[in-house]
Amino acid sequence: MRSSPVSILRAARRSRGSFWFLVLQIALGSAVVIEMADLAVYFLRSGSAPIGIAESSIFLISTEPKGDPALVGASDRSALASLPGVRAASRVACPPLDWSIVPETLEALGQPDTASVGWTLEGDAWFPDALGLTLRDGRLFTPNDRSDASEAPILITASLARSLFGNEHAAGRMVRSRSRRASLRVVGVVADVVAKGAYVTASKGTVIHLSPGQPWRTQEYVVRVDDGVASSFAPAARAALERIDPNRWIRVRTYAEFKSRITTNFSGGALIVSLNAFVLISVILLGSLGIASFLVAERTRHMGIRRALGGRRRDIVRYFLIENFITTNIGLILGIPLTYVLSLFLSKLDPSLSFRWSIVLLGVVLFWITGLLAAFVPARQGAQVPPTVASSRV
Amino acid sequence: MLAYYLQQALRSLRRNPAYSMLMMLCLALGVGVWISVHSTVASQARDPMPGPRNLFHVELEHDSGLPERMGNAAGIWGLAHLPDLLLSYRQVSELSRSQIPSRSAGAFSTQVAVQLDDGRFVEGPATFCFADLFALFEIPVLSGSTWARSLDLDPNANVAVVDHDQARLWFGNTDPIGRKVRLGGVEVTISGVAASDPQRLRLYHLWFGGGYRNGLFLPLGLIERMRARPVFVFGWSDHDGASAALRTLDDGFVHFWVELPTEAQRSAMILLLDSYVERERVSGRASAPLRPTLRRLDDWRRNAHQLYAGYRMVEMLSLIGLIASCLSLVRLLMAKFQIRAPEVSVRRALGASRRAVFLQHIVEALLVGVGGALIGLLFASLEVAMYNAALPDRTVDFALDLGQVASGFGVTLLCALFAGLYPAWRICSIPPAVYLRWQ
Amino acid sequence: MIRMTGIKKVYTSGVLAMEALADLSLHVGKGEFVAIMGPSGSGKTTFLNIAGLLDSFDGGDYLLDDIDVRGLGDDEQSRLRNQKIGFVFQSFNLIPDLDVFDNLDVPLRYRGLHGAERRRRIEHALEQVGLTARSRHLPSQLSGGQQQRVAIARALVGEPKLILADEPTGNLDSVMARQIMELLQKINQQGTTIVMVTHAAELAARAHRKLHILDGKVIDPQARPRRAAEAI
Repeated sequence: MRSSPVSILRAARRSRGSFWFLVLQIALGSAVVIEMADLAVYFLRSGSAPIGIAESSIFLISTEPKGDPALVGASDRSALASLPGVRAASRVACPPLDWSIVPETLEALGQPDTASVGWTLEGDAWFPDALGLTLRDGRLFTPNDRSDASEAPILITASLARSLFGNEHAAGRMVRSRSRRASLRVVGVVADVVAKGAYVTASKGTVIHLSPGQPWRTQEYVVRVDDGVASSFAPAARAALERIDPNRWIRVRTYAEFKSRITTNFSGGALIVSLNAFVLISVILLGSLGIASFLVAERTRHMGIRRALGGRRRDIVRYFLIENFITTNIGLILGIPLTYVLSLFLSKLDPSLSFRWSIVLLGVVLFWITGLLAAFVPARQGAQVPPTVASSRV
Repeated sequence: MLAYYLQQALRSLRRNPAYSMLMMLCLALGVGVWISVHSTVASQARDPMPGPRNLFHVELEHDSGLPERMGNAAGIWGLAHLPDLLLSYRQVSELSRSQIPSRSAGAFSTQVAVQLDDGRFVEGPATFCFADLFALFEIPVLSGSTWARSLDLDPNANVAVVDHDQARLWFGNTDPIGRKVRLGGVEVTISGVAASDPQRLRLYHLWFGGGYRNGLFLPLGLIERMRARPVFVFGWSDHDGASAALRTLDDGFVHFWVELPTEAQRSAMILLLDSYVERERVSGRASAPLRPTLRRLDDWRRNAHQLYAGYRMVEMLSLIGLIASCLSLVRLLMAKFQIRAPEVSVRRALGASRRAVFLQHIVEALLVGVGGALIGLLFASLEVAMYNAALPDRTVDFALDLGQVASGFGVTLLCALFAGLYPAWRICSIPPAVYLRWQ
Repeated sequence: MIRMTGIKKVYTSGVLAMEALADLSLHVGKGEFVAIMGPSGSGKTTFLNIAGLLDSFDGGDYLLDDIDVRGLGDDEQSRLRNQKIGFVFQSFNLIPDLDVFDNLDVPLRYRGLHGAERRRRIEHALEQVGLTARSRHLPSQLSGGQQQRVAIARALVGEPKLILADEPTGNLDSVMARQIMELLQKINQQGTTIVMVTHAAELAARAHRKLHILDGKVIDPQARPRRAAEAI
């Protein structure tokens, strides 16, 4: 005995008006759960978003020399560069992910409409090599490059080159930095690397300046090592630096370790958001299950009659599942506008959190499963009802 | 009559203990999230210095060359154009000579590596400032003293005040006063201990690297000798390692706070700033300030803490969660009351008015609300503990705020009340004849 | 006591309208014991519901104890029900998880009486039906006859002027049935008007007069009473 979806729906709507509350709950819940799931995934991805360098084999070393920072800095760098397994060692003013990285506006010389934002990294001539940057065009820095030249050399990433020069060759071109009020020459274009922020959509437009060293006391070095050496490098580096200027503060860590700190916060955020989504779903599920088990008696007579009229157990189960399916879908459809509105808010945080039909699909599947679970209990109970119920006097 | 309703409601809830528990649980889940989120936001967003103040942030807006749009990172970064507003060391030292403010303080914070007297190295934040910073921001000095004003810009000063919690970490329970620590190549003696207040810290110490507490307070003049590293500074390559760099650098990285209790002082200060800006412009410096602003403390706080959008968002999400809980409760109550329609019809037959039936069921809903609130409180405290565990770099510890708990209770009862309205109205509107079986 | 003129009651469901009562007029005097008879579907239950202010009607007039019920709001109707009417259902309709005492307590609570006064009345009512010893029992712990007696006690506890009963002995054995009928007659002799719906002719025989309802109308409304004066 098959009931048409329409008649099932009509029966459901008549059932105590609880129908519309359930629909509303699903509409609200699905919108919020979808957006929270999106946010949680965003957090997780952000935490582990690659920044474009080999994080496990590139070390960031910070230290505060006791002696003259400039002299000690130079000696430190040489010592690190000559350690076994070291591919390149550089002295840096602004390494990737540093807290003081600022952006600057660059424009192709004489063409203000090409103005683009690049995030700034600064280091010595060995810096690009220490980061393991792949050269796309032109050349990297050499020890002959001078930062105080009238056309100070810079390297830019491929993304930045595209927005400044389109498809033309960038190497050799001149740019003007509005921030520094100086003209700079692009000596080379490198593969994309993220300077600031481990967010999913962190800017890949990076400009690398040559700097002879920084005047503040803290010295920082970026050192790239062979993969095999990475696990044993830290103590060797520490020892080398101690020999030059003993009894000073030294911190050695890989970029992977540095990032894991950021990751913890992101996964913490993801956890919190997921918790709230879980709460929401539970609430809906519990409500449905509770009512279903409570209203068994109401259902019993109805189901008994159906069975007496020839309905099989299968038909009973199908009846409940269809009813639930229809209700869920109505709720999901009604929830889409709310999902859209919420995504507008979230996209202010990051454009990648904007409304996409793919996330709606995710929510739909999630709620179909939830609905199935919720319908399972009454479906099973209803199917157990014997046809004799129909003829009993209640 | 209320006592009777209570009695009947309790009886009704006891009759189906599992179902009643389920109702309370549904409500508690939404309430728990609501209370924990609002408590957290309250502890983060609490204004540590509420009320009208005479404290102003001096801003010399200039063109730092930073781009207008900083990309999405600016949203997290928050203060996209802060570098445009801050003063250079030179400007602070010049302006601080003015007699107009009752008190003033320059301040800037950075990360330093400190060597304790037992040789251990520790890393932590430091605030280079004037002695008056403590008074201006009402930071209690728990023991010892700060330094004399004459040392504020003295590069040879060698005193420091330590943050109380940090001192506990560094020195255990021993008295930090008189102990020496070494940083930036300079040995300083700790002369005082300041109370820890992370919330207050955020007013004068803008930190982008995570929720570190404060470590040391040092006279501003020391930054040059220590060659401490400022934020937001370009163009080091111009200065080639010269140690006088910080003193003459044109880039702004120092905050400057002034106390102007009277209207006359405020007007005088604005005039002073206007003429100062004019002098700077005339001197032809590249980054000459364009216009000065005296920004009130509460305005500064609003500007500086751009996370409000994030707060509102989580609050809204928790509200929706609460609404979903309420909807669950409505459905559960509807089912329960529906089952009881025959009994209600009997009561009506015996003379209960619609209002009496309505009230009785509202009381039952409220009782569920009470239970839900209690369980929700338990959930909330668990959640807050979880937030603390999940976010190690938080600025301020998340905690259950008493005010939020109380209002959470009230909100729960209100929710239970609203959730019960429709089911109670429905059950009392049924004509008694419908469910009454004579036979 | 009950004066109904031209009562009409229509049930609509969807597009179907069913007239349960077409043009019902009857008159029950104070202190009368009237039996209502009729086939199933004739509108007896509908009549009881309307008489007991348990349901609305769509046409006609109804005066209960000389009060026109049509102008009354829900509060007033509920008060009337509480003070003037007692119900005795064939299915007892005791609230299952309240004990006997608390079941009797319900109408008194809605009257707003104090604890002592309520207790007095409950004990008196239980005495009248002979169930003082069972005041703390649950309905499930009582026999059918005892439950019906509790139901009658509940109907009496508010000292109503009118008792509406539907097959009060329908679920009881003959011994019990006789006891209940004797109790009802005793109550009636003390001045309470009783309107009783029944199929059984021998029960109807105990009433002062019989009314027949068929197709929503009363047949023979002015049948002469067999005994007792008709108070107007």
